[in-house]
Amino acid sequence: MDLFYFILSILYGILKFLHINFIPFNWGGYPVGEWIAWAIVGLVEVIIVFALSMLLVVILVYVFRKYMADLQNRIGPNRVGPWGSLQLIADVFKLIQKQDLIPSRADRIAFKLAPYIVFTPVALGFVLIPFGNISILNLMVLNFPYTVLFLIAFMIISPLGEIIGGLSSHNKFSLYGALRSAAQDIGYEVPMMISVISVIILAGSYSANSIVYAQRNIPFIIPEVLGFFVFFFAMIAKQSIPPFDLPESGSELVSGYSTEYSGMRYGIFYMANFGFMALTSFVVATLYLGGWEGPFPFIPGLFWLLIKAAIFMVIFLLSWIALGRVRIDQFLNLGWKYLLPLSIINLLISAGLALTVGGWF
Amino acid sequence: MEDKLIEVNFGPQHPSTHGVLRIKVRLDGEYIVDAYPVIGYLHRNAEKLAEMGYYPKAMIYVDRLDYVASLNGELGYVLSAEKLMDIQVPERAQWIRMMLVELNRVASHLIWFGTHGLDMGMLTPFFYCFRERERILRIFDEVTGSRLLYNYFAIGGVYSDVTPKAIEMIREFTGNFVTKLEEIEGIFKKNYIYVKRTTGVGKLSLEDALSYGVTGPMLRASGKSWDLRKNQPYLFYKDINFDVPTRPEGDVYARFLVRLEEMKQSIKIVEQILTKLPEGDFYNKKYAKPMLIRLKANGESYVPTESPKGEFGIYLVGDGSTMPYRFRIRSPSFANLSATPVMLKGYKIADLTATVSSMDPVFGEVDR
Amino acid sequence: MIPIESEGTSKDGTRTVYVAKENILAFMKERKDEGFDVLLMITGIDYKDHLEVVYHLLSTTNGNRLVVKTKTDEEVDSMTGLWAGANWHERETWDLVGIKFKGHPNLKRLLLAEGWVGHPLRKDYPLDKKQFVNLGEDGEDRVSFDPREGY
Repeated sequence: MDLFYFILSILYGILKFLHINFIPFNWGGYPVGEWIAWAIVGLVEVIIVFALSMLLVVILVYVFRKYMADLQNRIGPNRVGPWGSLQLIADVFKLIQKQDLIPSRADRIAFKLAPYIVFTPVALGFVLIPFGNISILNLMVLNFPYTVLFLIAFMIISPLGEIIGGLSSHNKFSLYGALRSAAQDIGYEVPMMISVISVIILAGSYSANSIVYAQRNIPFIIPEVLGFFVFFFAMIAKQSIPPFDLPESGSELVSGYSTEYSGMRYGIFYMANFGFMALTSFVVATLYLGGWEGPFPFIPGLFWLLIKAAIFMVIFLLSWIALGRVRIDQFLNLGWKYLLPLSIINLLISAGLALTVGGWF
Repeated sequence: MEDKLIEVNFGPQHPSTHGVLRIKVRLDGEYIVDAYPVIGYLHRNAEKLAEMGYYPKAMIYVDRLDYVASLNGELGYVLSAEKLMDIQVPERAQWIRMMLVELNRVASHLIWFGTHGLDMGMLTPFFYCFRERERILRIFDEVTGSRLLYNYFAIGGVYSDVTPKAIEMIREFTGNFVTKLEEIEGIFKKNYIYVKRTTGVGKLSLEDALSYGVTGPMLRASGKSWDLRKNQPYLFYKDINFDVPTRPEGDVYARFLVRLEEMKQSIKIVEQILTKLPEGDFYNKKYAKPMLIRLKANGESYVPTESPKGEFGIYLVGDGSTMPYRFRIRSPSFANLSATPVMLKGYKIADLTATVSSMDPVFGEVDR
Repeated sequence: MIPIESEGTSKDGTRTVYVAKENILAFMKERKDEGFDVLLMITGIDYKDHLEVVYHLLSTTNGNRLVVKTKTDEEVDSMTGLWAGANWHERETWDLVGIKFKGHPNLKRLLLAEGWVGHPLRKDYPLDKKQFVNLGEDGEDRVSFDPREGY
């Protein structure tokens, strides 16, 4: 039983309790009332997940700032709210107040659209993550058989916004940022997809929830070390955080594709960046570390998922803080010459495993 | 072919040009076809300003040349002016000068070290370097009264004596600086990404280096063991035991290693000075502060000194009046920067920032 | 062997030689072959009645230093063929002192904007006349006496 139906039945119960005969409302033979109820429930759920994911992003930004400051002998945000915890809110208010600057020769529509193309898939991606289950209730907004495909699709669409933003800015640095972003997407999506395919082969399903169930005995990181390695690197590259922050390399390309962005448009890029980090942490935890599966059944699965995702978030932040930037040729070499062959080897291994001891998983 | 090239202006407003360097780069994709540095955005004509005032007044303009190593600039000026006027300097003043100049060299290299990390995409070492630099600045604050622009060396000595508290601070600093530096350098040296990105990048051959008048750590990284403190010692450097680090490769990584070793050698020098610091006057009593503006000079002099960036000196021409007739600054960054096109041709955009930052240009000195 | 006009020592003990303007390039070529491999700087001095160009040479093999001077009214030969580093020094000298260098590949102003009137290190440079640098349409700097002019 999914969260969707759970909330639907609660809503139904409330309406029944209030003696509002809303659900069986028919119009011309069609159950319009039921559709409306479904739409309302879906909307409520998406809003809940969106709010929670934004809360997660706010926490992540705060943790990032404090952690970074701690490693760098600084104090970090400490003025707004208790221990500076409301700093991001203050920053958002500041960004909203800023003048909306668009370069005079920019492609205005594409320029305005780009931040949303980056942000929307990230926010949507959270809808597809299985967050755990409480007795028979799946904490998952949408549970249909092709969840993983949609997740990967969202993660591929998001960087397209960076390319669009870079190309439409009418700035040479942005252009270079967009080109690098394109090279990065092409170079790292292929090994990423191949390693996801091996997971799907091993689990025998496209559904994220089934993949989690398939890992109840043994998480996929053990049979698929190579795949995990490839996917993890591809995830760092997709987020474009150091050492792979080539599209927005601050010291070379003046923050690349986002050079011309300011105010809240830049703020959306910034939020999307951290949202993407949270999303990828959840995806890696789901695909390779068994998602919400945990050793003690009395502890809710959401707790395990959060712990697993937090491990990856900290690793991502640490890589951001500690590492330098690679050069474009080294970067593409890593993608094409090392990760792609490794992912293919991993595909063969998992295909062999699926044919021999596949039922065991 | 021609129309495929993109011309990009790196600077004057760019995060990794260390001020206001502008490099017109023609790019073929990611490759640099041609680089043309444009300077002058921080030009104040310090030479003309110095020629318009008394001899001691020029000190404030010298301070603002290499503003991260002001004392090195002051040293070049006072040595040249003292030679010009035949002024004797007490021994203690000379040892104090040596000690502070070496500390300032460490501070300057630390700034380079931190910003070099920033240019390579590493945020964190910057803060560690500035933490260490802060301790040096506190020492300078105690000795000279200011933290960045000191105006401390005077013609005929120094303005104030080094206090016992300052000596204690210097002792504490030299005691644990090298271990801390080694911690910081591990972030770079043990980082595969950094080493891979800097080896073989921004190569400058020895012939080119000499032809362009490149001096200092850059020349030493190109394989020439040339350090004025060793080869043509001034002050009391001949009484002090230290090594001149040299690397043959001539790339960014070699410059990194040379500067790193230089910091350790500077600390070694300071430690020796602390044991040898003599008692006595810290300035020549004949040239007390009010007397200085009456100084007159004839003739010309140029005393080369080894500043953190290379050979620094001021060519003074006097005409018998209280003001210098010609005040020419030999600035190492200027000469080093003129070799930029050679070092950039054929490399990639990412190597541009690495190379420019490895030159350690300071624009107060380049544009003067 | 190129003849030198006169010889002396500067206050810091460096040998200083005067060479005739016509012979300067040949003289410097000789010095370079002799081992003076670094041209430290080129200085232009305005002595009101004539201009002087001063070259500081250094040999990194034996540590010798030499100061070469030549008197000129307007123009001297460029040293860019001998030392690549002379390029910027000569451009700067042209910019600030107004000495032309014959055979320089790109004798433009280096520190000041192209179009600046006068050479500031000349002793007769009018200090009370302000010049303003504005950004032109093509991104290059424009100089004018009127602050409102330009971009």
